[in-house]
Amino acid sequence: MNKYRLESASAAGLETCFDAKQPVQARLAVAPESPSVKAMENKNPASESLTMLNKPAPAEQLLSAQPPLAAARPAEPAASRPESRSGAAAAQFKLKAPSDWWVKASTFVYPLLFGILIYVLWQSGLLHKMLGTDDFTLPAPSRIVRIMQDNSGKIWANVITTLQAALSGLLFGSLLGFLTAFLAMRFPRWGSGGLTLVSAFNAIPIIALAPVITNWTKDVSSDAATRSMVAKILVVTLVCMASMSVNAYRGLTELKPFSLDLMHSYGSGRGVEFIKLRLPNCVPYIFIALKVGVPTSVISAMIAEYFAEFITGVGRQIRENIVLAQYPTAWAYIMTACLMGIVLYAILISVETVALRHRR
Amino acid sequence: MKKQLKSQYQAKPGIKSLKQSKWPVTLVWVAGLILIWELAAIEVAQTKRTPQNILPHLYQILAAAFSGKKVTNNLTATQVVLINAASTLLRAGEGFIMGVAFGYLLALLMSLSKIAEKIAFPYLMLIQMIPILGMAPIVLSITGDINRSRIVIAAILTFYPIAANCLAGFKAVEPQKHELMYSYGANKFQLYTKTMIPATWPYFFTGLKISAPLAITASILVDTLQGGGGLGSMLSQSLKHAMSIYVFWLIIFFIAFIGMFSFYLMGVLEAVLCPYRKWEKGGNEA
Repeated sequence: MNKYRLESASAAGLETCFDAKQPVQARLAVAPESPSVKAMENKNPASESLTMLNKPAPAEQLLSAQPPLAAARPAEPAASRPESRSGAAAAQFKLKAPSDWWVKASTFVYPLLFGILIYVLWQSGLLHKMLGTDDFTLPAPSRIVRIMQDNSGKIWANVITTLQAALSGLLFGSLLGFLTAFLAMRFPRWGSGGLTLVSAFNAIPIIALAPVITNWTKDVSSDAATRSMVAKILVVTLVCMASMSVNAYRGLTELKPFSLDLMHSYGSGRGVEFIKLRLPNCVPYIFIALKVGVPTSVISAMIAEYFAEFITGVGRQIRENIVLAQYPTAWAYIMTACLMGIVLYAILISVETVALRHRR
Repeated sequence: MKKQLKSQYQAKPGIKSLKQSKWPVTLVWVAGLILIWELAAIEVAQTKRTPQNILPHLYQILAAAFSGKKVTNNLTATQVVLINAASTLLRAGEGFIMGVAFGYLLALLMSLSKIAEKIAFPYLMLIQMIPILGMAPIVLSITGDINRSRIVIAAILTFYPIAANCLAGFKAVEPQKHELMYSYGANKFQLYTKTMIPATWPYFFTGLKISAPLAITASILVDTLQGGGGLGSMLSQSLKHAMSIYVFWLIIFFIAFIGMFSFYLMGVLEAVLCPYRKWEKGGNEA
């Protein structure tokens, strides 16, 4: 066991060693006045406080609505934070233990086998028997693919409108969210109140937002297509704003110990401090926020389409086709929606890999 | 939420004064929002023929909530909202509990068995991509019953955050703790009951906080697909002017309130069930 740990520690780099060997200093550096740390000192020996340092902060990930991906793959999101390095160490420790080509291969083989199993069950109709449904409500995958091919032109047009709403909403929402985070960082006293409010908005269901915003945007344009697009974009913007603002705020404020002091000792102004320290520190957090934002933006654009005036978009087509009892066509649109989400997510992950390649 | 922001400030000096000034700041923000709403409402009232469709005054909405006027079936607006909310929230709750149970069990299974984790993890990620709310009509046609489909969809939406968070919780247990339990000669059952499962609680509650509003959203959205009661059904009816438009506004505010309330409720639940976690929260600022 020990051997593995040593290996993983060296693999994870200097940070981890620093943490492991000098827990007391690290702790002092982090929160000299934190009352809870003092309480800890009374309760536990230094080893426990090391534990505490290494612990990812579950309660805080909460607003990011994204701890799942962030924490489930510990090496990824907060590359700049010491505790996530040790998380990476733990992951490596697990991976290296049996050290076998099969371990790597099985990561792909098992899910693939499972996927094939589901496909066979679905195509052969056994899945229908298990769910107690029929071939019309749940068509076989081959049929869905055929319908997608036959209607590719129409589906593509709908994909474009949904993507327009989702992506521009994501863009505006992220910019606004970042602006909120910046203001909250710059003016902590009043800004944090705004941040609380933005996160409270996050708990408001899209269902409540979409019809209201459709009502509000009736005057934007005389063209129904334009004004429903504006309504959709607004809905997506509001939904994407919260996770970006909370995550970006964390990225702008949770800096490495002493880094701010270093900037002060260099005599840097606020602008330099922001560009050279806070902004680079924020980048991984922005990606965490985007990982929440991308799937949410697609889904909320689709929900907004439900309530929009103009009948267009993948989400609306799903609904319209079901109202007309055209389940196979509806399934084709559902598949399209899944593909859209997956492709966007894959693009995001590759951009992240490129953008963060120097941080690993 | 507030707790988190507070805890973010704990690393800084002057926490006491910030803590004390927390409430007024939030109050000012809320007051500002109300002011903006009212100003917009005044503007709308002057320019539109039917201002209540677009932006009624807040006091008008309040008045509608307390008026004894019957809007439909001998029920006042508030009664309509509450009766329909009961059926919606009950299903959301059932689905929520089911989703929580399945999500936690799957996370436990994935943590116990490497093979299960490898099979399920990519699909767990994929679930996030599937527009389950968009699929609501399909689920409705498969289950055939609106109540059952509400439960199923609420369960599916709840499932993902819980499973992913708890899995993260199981993985976040430090190797040192494993080694300690190993040196105590603990068996697998003891390892899980004494170390692993308690370690997941904070993650579990994080998952609960994310998924509680989602479950409610799901239940309401399923309502809009079919008549026969439920908040969503009333929402679309009142939007089409089948009854007073104020019912629509009442429902909107009610949904918004319930969404936020469910979030805070989970925080309260955590504070009640895991009071000993408090000191850790303050300390994880590293």
